[in-house]
Amino acid sequence: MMGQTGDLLICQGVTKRFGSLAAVDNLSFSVKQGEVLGIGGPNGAGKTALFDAISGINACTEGSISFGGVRIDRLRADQICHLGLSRTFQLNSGFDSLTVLENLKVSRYFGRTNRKLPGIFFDSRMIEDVNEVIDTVGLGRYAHEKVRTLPVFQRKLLMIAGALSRQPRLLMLDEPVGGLTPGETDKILELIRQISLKNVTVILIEHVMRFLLELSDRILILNRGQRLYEGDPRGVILDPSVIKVFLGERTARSLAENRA
Amino acid sequence: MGESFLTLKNICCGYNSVDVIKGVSIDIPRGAVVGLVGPNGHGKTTLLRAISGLVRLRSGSIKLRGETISELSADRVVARGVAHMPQGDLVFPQMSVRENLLMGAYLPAARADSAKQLEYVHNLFPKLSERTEQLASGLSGGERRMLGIGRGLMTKSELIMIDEPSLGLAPLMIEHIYDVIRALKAEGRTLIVVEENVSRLTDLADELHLLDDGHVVWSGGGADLMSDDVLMKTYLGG
Amino acid sequence: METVILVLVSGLTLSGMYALSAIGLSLTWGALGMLNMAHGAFLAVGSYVCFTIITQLGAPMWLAIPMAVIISGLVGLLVYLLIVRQMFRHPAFETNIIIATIGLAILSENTILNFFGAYPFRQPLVIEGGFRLSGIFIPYQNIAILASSVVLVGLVGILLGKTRTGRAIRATSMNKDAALLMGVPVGQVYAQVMAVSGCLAAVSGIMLSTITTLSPTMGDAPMVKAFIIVAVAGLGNVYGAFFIAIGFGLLEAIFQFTFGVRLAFPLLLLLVIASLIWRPNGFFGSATILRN
Repeated sequence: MMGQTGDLLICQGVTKRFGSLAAVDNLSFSVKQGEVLGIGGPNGAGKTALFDAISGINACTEGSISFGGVRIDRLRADQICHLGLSRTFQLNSGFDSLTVLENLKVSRYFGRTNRKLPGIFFDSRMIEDVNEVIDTVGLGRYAHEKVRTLPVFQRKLLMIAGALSRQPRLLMLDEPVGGLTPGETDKILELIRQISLKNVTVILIEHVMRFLLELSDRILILNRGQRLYEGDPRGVILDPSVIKVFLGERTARSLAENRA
Repeated sequence: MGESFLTLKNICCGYNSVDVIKGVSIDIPRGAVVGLVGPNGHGKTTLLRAISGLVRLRSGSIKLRGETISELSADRVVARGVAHMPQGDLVFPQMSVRENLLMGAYLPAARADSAKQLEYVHNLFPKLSERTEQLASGLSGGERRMLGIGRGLMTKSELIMIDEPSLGLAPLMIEHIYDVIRALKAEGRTLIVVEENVSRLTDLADELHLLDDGHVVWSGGGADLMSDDVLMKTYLGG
Repeated sequence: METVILVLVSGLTLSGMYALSAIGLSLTWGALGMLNMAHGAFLAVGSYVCFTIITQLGAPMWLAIPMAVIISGLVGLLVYLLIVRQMFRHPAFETNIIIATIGLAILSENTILNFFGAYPFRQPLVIEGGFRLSGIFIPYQNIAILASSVVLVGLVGILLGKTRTGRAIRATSMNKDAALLMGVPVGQVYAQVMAVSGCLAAVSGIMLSTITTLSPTMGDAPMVKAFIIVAVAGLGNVYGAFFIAIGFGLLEAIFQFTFGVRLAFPLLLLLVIASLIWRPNGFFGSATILRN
């Protein structure tokens, strides 16, 4: 599928091999500017491996990836980040012994431009940006708490806040609501909707189907590193191969009922 | 249902001199499926860790089949027939999938039957049998979850405690796991399940306990909880 | 050709001794997260106990060596029961235990000094004679050390890989909480590891004392080398420690031959620094070694 104008991210023939195992297998797809692409699939289907390849954490073995017209498949993760691509991780990551505020300062300071010689002070504009992100995400109460004391919901918010502070054009979220109560899930859903409205492109991996279907403009389902389904969220719950391999009959039925 | 199998009496415990559990008393009959629900960070995981002995109690007592286990080290608690499948899975990273599963059959009681149990777990999680020689550190998040649960099943314990069985699993797998839980219940085992999503537990659990800020604020049946809008909104946000 | 044989013989002898010592240290670090600064003391204690048993009690070699090894194992066990176990729960354990074991090492050194004095006794364990290979004289002593090392390392390998105890030790090293949940008696595992570590250090020390002499400080330099080997291998990786020990011994012999004994160690250290810059987590280490 060749890239069209308006495509922000184009993946062409992306393959990631670990030994003889192909975690991602000749996958091609593209993401339009401003859309929300939801990625699902059974465990071990290669979703996180795909994210690692795109974000530069663990480069793909073959294939090409371009972001905003620039080839990124051989760039380092920090270079890719500075181009405007930010991702979060499945396992809560953050600098445990620093406070929320300090975490975000680091993110803001290093996340936007390449620093050859780091300065000594944070200027007031940066502090303002960080405070704004904290407000957007709703972590105000926790600003001076050390990250290791945070409950899981706040940790997930912090990851999103960190990504936002880097002012991304493309935000990649890896299982942002795993383990959260329905109320917490709703809050993150709303947050990401707001982010998307500001014309940030979003790709998200999730197993919580309600979340995935409500947010996504388009859905991509992977299985064994290959594309199983790509298209409308409404079609996902009806597609027989997706039901067989990923959703299961009961889930598909209850999702269909809820949508009716 | 039966005489009390597991009794928690007014237990308080936590980390670094901060109590997370602030006085919890629960009675669990043999053969019951009990659900622990509530917002994150309010003690559900700590409660399981207190029962298995990974966290020491500051006060209160825990009795299993009438015997006080709260002073025992975790390996001794486990030897009395308690399986704890923790949230982080805690797999052994440099051991293969097979070695991890066999570690579940470390104790003599489980070792005798280990070949049969291994086959049972492989049938349950075909993905694991595909990767049986792979190092656990190379598994994806959901696969690690399957391994953690499979390994716990290898212990053949009477009391099974699962911390968020569905975390990180694809919907099909989640149904699968809950089928397993139903099967375990049918075998007469006693189960404690921590879940974010109450609806999964409603027709399975005999009783639910809602934990908020280290206290049990409500106990009852699943249907009752789901139909109580106030409770649902306050603690689970709908 | 003669050079190669010379270097190989002396190198592999060193490798054997280093391997035993490093494996013991790596086991302790992996299972307990403990940097045992008394490791050199175990080496010395083992050697002096062996010496005493032979000279004072008149026991033959085949009795004295196992006895000395067992006694050192018991010392390791005592250190665990009396010191390590008490300090274990404290969050600053990893720092505190370094200080505690340094203290223990100083205590041990001074006790030996008081009892035996500083006289460099010879370990009465030398096997006289040797054979010729391509014109080079190879002492039976070296062959004995090498053979014993191979056997012992093999035994440790079997212990770790094939026995239930070994699996328990490996599981505890990887994740203590998970091991507990499998029913592994972690406290006993710790005791076993420290006992085994004491035994291996004693054997290493006895071997060393047959090539050089006994002295109260004999454990210091070997301990430093053991630490280097364990760090370069990757903290906690026992199999890695074995391979690096082989390499280290051979390299030391090569450097000694090429640059002379005085320059060999400093140059070797430069190589170590370079390798740690290249691979900060060790050759075989994983990115983080988390305890639980």
